[in-house]
Amino acid sequence: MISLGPCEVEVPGEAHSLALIRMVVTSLAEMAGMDENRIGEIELAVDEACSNVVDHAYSGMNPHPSFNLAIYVDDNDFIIEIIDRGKHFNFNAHVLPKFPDHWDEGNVRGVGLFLIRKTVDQVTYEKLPDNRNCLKLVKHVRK
Amino acid sequence: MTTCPLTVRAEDQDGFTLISVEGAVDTSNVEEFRSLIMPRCETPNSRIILDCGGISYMNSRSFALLYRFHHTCESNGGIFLVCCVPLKIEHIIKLLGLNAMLKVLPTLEDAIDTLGTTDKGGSDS
Repeated sequence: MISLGPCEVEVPGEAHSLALIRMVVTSLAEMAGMDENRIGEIELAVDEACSNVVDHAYSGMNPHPSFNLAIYVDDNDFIIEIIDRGKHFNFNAHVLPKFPDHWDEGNVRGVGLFLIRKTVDQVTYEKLPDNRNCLKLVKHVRK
Repeated sequence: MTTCPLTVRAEDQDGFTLISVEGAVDTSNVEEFRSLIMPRCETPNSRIILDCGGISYMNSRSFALLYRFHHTCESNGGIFLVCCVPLKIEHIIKLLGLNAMLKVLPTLEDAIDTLGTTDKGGSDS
């Protein structure tokens, strides 16, 4: 039985923060008893989400603001909220690419949201009252 | 910009090039990953084995690049094989359906054997 959190982290809005974030997420996922594949999936989902903040939400902002993560773990779920101060986007309008057509057309981008949706059990995105954006990922600890 | 540590080592061996990658590939260094490997794939008739045994993490763009490396290499008359993929990365390769397009072998020996059963199209050295 495990109950953790919230574990709150504020990191610079730069690509070099990603390695630290992955380390925190995988450590907590191991403590929660997730198996190797599920740890790999939540690591990927969080890294892709945070990369989108750095590469897209903060695009054109100089310097990049920091962003926050809040992680909660209980017996059933591993929950991560990623809160940024960048541009909002229409998450629900995103059309999932078809493979291999997407890559045959020369695209190397656009795969991240597909992987986020594929690797977590629930994903929501909303604009907070203070104008920050919150992406919430929920992954069951076990299948 | 500080990047995540990544080592890409290419060795020309008997009839093929072995590219060994160590570290994590994320948005901080994915362009480095591309620029160090793609020129080898663009060389006509290249026979390349990508050893992924030392990779601790790959992001979505690096999976897309695996497909680009394979496609570019084969378009130029070459062969591109991937081997020693860690389980958690192989799991994502399957999730993306890349296993149906890439030639993924369990070990380096398997990859070399696979090259041996194909017609030698040339050298990239």
